[in-house]
Amino acid sequence: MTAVYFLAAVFTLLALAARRFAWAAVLGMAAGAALVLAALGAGCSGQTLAVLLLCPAAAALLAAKGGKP
Amino acid sequence: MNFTAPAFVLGFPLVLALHWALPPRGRWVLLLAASLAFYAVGSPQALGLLGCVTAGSYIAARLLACCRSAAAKRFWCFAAAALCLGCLARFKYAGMLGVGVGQALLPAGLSFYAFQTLGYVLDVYRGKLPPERHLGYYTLFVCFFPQLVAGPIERADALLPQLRGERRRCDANGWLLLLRGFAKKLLLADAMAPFVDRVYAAPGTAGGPALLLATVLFAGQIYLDFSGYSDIAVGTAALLGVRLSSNFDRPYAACSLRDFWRRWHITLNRFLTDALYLPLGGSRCGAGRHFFNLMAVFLVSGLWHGAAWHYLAWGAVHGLLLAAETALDRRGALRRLPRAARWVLTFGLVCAAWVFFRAPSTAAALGVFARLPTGWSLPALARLLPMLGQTTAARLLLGLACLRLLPSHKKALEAPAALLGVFALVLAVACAWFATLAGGASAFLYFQF
Repeated sequence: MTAVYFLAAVFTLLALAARRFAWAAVLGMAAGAALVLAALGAGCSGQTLAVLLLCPAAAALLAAKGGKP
Repeated sequence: MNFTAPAFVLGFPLVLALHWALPPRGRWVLLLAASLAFYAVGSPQALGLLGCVTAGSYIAARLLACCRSAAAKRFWCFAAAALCLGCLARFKYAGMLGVGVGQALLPAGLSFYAFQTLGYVLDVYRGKLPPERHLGYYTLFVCFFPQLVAGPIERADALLPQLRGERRRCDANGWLLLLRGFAKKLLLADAMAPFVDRVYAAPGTAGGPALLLATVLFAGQIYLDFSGYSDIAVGTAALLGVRLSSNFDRPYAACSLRDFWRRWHITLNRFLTDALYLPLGGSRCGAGRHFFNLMAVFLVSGLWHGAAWHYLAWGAVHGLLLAAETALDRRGALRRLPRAARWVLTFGLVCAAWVFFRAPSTAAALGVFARLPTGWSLPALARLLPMLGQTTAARLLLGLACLRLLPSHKKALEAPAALLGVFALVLAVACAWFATLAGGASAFLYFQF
């Protein structure tokens, strides 16, 4: 599960960085896909996975709206 | 047809691709076939009834348009109304009155397409539009799959020309509406449901704080569930080049009950206003008659939602509250209140009325009100978060933030951050969908109506 949480943190950081750097968005998508695969491998519950994916989603959408990353 | 069922999620992209690949003249055939196929997957036994209502209303509208005498026109209009309302009475209300079939056999979408066809016949009777001659287009108007099972209840003069039109254009913003709808349903409404169900399953054992939280969460659940369905319906139709009416306009932002009803289930209220409220005299009459008109509309609205006495009580409560608000408004009493106070009052009254809607019976709803003042203490309040679940609470907060920030126009996706946000939300929705499939697809709340 540590790897899952680590990937979620990386995904969120990349989501925040995507406001300034386009490459962060591309890396973020790769991190998101890796997060889902790692969560499936680790047997992560649906609730936890939803929260882990909603964190970067909210961060990226907030960054896109102009909120401070 | 359930939008979260695999048949729709896998079948719709195929229908969409075929729709735009076909020449414009043949598209209605594909849409009609897809509509009937999607409906048959969910409720094959109800296809006959759908066919009867469609054929009956089509024939009645054609005949009443041919008649010259007012009496003959009225006869065919009554015949069509008797067919639509008779089907509703037979399949929906017979169980409530203790005769014949119960609600277990309620054909999917009957309440919606019965009102849509009745609205069409009334428009033809009033001379607002000519009867549709093409049986295929008319059948598609009744059966159009995005809105067949749970609305929006469309007017014929808005939908029929679009279905006939050969110059439709795919509106790619529909994808964003689809995502918003699925996120509302799968990430939020379904997360609220377990707590609400648990508390309302045994309201006699729950304390005031849990009942209050469950009621507020139910207010959110029913809004997110139904507006999620409506977003998916409008988004699906937009991708097919058809523009459907919006059913919601941020109803919980309303500062009065009248304002709330302008924003909640807009298409049903429009139908009830046109078919019942205005013919009864509307508000341009004496206070007593206006009260009667309001009560009639809200009792019908309550009964339309379900064949049970607690739905009728929900309608009656709204009718009484709206009549009281109108009386207070005439004296200017409400306008003196600050806007925030009016919002709190409106939201509180709407939530109180939801208790009648959600409780299994009127007696249970009254029991909820009796228990609401009990069990208020700091330990009881502290127990609320563990009861709801910390992960669920985080999911709700983050999900609401995402919905608030999600763009509604595809142009916003040119920003890399917005694209990544939408990608993450799609992943979250897809994971929630797979999790739902494992536990059996959850139906939308309004399917039971």
